[in-house]
Amino acid sequence: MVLFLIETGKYINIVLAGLYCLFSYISLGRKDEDGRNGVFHILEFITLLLFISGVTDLALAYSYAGDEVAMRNVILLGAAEAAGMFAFARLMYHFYPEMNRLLFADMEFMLCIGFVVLMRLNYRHALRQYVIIAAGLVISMFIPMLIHRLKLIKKMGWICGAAGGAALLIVYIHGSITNGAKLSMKIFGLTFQPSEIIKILFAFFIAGILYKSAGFVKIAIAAASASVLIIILTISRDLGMALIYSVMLIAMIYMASGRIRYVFIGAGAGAAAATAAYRLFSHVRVRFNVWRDPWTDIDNTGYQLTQSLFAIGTGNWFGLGIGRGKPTTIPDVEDDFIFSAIAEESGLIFGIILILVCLNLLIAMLLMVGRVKDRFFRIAGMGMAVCYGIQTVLTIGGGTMLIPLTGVTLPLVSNGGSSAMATLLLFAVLQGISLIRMDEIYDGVSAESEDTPLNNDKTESKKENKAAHKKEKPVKEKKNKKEQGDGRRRAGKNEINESAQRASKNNDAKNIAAAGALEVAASAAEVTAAEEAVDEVMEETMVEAMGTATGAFATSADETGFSGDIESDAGDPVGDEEYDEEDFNEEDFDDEAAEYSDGEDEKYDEKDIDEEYDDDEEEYAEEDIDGEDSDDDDDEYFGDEDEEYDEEDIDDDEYSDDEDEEYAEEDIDNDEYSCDEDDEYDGEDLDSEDDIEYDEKSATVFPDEDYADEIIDDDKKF
Amino acid sequence: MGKDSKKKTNREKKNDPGMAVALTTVILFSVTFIAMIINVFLFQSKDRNVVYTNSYNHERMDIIKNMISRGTIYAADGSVLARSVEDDEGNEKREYPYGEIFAHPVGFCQKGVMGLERDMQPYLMSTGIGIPEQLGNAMDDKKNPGNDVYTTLEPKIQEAAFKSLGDKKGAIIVTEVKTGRILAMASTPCFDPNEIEENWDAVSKDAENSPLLNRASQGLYPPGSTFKILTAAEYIREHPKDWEDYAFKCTGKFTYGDESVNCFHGNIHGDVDLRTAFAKSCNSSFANIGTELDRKKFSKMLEDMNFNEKLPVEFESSVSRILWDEDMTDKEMLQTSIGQSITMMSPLHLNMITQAVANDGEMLCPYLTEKVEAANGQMIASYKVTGLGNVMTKSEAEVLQDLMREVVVSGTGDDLNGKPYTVAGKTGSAEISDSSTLSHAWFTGYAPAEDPEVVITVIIEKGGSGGAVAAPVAGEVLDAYFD
Repeated sequence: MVLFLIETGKYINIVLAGLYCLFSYISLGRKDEDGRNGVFHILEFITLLLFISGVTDLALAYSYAGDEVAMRNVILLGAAEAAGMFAFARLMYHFYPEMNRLLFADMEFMLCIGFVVLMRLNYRHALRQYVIIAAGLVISMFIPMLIHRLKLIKKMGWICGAAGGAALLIVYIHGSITNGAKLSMKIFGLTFQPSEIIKILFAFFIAGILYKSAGFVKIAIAAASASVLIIILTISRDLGMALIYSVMLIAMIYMASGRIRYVFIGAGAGAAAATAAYRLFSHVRVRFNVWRDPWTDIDNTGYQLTQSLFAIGTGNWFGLGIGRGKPTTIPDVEDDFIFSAIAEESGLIFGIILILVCLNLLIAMLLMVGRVKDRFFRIAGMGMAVCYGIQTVLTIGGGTMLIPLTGVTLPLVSNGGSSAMATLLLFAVLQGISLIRMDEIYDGVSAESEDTPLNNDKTESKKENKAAHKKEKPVKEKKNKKEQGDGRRRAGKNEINESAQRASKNNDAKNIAAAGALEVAASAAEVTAAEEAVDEVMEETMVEAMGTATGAFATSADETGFSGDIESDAGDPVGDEEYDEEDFNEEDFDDEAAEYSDGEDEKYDEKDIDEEYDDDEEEYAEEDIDGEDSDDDDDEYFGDEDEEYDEEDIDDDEYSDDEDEEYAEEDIDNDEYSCDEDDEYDGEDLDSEDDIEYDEKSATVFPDEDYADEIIDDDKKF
Repeated sequence: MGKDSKKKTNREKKNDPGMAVALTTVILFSVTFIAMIINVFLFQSKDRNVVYTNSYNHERMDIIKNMISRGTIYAADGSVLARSVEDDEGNEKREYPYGEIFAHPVGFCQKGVMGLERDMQPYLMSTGIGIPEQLGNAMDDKKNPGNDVYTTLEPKIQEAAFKSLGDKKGAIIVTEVKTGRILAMASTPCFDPNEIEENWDAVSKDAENSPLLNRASQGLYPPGSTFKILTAAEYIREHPKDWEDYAFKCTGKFTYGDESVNCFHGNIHGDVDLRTAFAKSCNSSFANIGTELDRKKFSKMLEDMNFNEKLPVEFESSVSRILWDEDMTDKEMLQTSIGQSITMMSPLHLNMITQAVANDGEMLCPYLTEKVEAANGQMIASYKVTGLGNVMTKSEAEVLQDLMREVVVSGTGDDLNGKPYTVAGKTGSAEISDSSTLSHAWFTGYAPAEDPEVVITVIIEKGGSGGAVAAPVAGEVLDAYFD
């Protein structure tokens, strides 16, 4: 009877994993998190069932073998793990209802599989891993919030890089040697492998270099400074990690530049580096030769890989059953060959499903990262997503003889404290980035929203707001509302420019601006009654406002000798920071206008404004120009390097012949579709965001092209 | 309004590259992940043999042994060659009803694995019955039955072959001309697989007799005069019209440069044409032919015939060696033409070449397994005739058939003349480097000569002359076949 249950368990596991895989891909097709909500619960439920089934199978296998102690241990630890995961999931869901649920569900799935496999392989290690993962999960609960709030990290790229480099150097000098490589060191009695954690710093470091511009010089700087880290890793003989860092670097450069040629260049450089490594390092040669033919030296160098292949092969399609195989004959099975252990006992079908779920997780990450508008987080997120992907490929590909062994762990599944901790943090950072992404969506969708993204309860209110937004069925009404919002924002912007001259305190400026905005909102509400008139009035209002604003800008720029592409700055992906900050303040201002603020929010606003937005306009303008100056060389490189952006500049120059008109146009785009106030060049890129996110859903609500054109026509009349 | 279109193109250009980059990366990774899946899928479907037979995987095979009851191996007539039985204590034991007769082709599975037990282990040690049936067995705490292997071996012929070898060292392999099915594969000295565990030390350490060696496929012997089939084939290929005009005067010795070749036992064959030289196995004449051959073309033919490479069979076999290139010395060339020098062939390989002659030039891959079935009768795998290509033209093959028939009618193989069936073939008496002992006796041929059905190759180690020793042994086996 026990045997029957064990045998049945094998098939149940495969069916559950298959269902999970199916639903995870279905969920991938859902773009918005609400759409994923239902599937998310299914995914979580399947994961729970799978975990229970796995633990039961293992306990039964021990019971069948007559090992009562092991059986009891497994049940207890399994219950603790399930409880821990459940608690963590509830907390995360409570604090971050807006997180990327597919990412989270996949993470849970992987963790659960890892728990079961580790329990089976080494109970003591599983226990330790459980503690580490629990600690990691607790820490990672704060990360998304930190990432979301502390945009300061953008300025800390070099600190991240220097800290990472220093840590790696310390390991190189003082580290202990395992398997011929200096990977780890002991801190307070805990063995610690810094290169795992530094992956995250590395992503921030490179993103910090590249996010403003990805011209040739910046890329060269990024590549050169990354090489320092990679070389330290190489001389520490941590070649697997050096490879991961290199792939991350290439991916981030690709993301920053949008040019696939860097991938080819990187691949070429990688091939050259691989050849050099083959010549320089004997263990690289050994691993390469083992990969070519593991059978001739099966006693010695080929032992590990052949045992891995034996495990997969003996397991066959349906596996020997959890707890019934012999995965421990593979040296380092808990770290580098966990996939083989899974395939041996749960079967290759299960293994293939696991590969597909890994891919699903990677796709979820990449799609999320691809949708983020904030260049810094987009680049950093790309690095982290690719880090996960390449690690999976290296582990599974290495254990199945597709590629030579690199000695890399399977993220979330393999044993290893540093690796687990680093992966959890990485996932947490990606969740943080997904929150930034959600902000962008809401900022874009609900321009009229009476809500602030910096509010403590923002997630809650956002949800409400979102729900409210959904209910707005009548298109016409929605359009009007949107126009109201736009008008308010525009007026507000106008106001703030004026008020900056008049008032010396930010609060004053905000108050005045808020009052102005409310006035405009009120007047817009009146106009709503006369639907026919609305467009014209609003457009006039805002064109006028914009004209004034542009004039003010242009004047100040002229004074300092910059006949000034204010607009092109706005549109330039080189990203004039000051302009960006103006946007940022505009957002703050909107929040104020909405009279939605609490203490913390205000503090935050103040801090930001004090820091970045100076009291009077002249200084602001100067700063602007300084910013322009400092970015000048970048601009030049863009001019040379980047045809696309170059053209953009030229176009903008052309438009600036008729400055008012052009500025109005720019700003119409900008405000109307503003999705990301933080973004450097969102002014130009908003359309694409809209295309991706909303056009399918509410094309009628945001007839961007037509609407914009209409405005231009009217503008001409005007 | 030109501005509008301009604005549009502008917008298109300004499309954010983030999503495009992410999608490209998704595609790149998807390809990599799918490559991983395909790789591991192919490994699982194709390379299972090494997993199931490598001794370094014995720990896992022990687990499998506790889950699966090893399948049965059947002969072509349905009789059992190997089966699993439970002893009184419920332990599984392997039983071989024919004892040592099928020892080499079937092999054994205690103390390592050999033969079909080894090659078919992935099937024998896995079960093809449905999942519900498996769960039913688990319910009853029973092992699942392994798959059954149906071989091509015919006990009647195998027994005759084994008996005819007697206490001589040697091997016999019998295959079907039109299919390549192996009907018998016997090798002596032998061992009893039923008692392999008890006798393991004696059997595995007997270096003199090496009873574990399957001489039919793994033994390598100088082909001697049987190689003249290939020398003649090349001569006919180069002289398709005038090969019958070949004339040579044998003085019992042929000298070329500093080297010379003697005819067997110093026989003097006098004036010979190709037919007589082949039938009488005149060394001098073939050494002479060897000097005339186009070395490049002959190399090509030998390559086509699978020399110096692993035979495409699914069981263990040795690689036949030959040296034939443009830089070879005169001595090497003369010796190679008559099947001496470093040339070494397995009986299996010679059997394949003979089969190609009998089959009008098309070589077929010999095989031992007809099909594999699950315990519930469901087909798991079946094996088909596999052509290895036309290694000679039909007319070339017909000439060789003619020459080989003449060997039995009037030449060295006349011991087989006068049987109720007609035989064609070639004898060989391969000299061994230390000339104090007798030569290896070869016979390779087929029957009936007019409509070939069966190919037989016999090697008797240090038996003496092929015509006197090997041909009668072949006759006994063919008697059993045509009985």
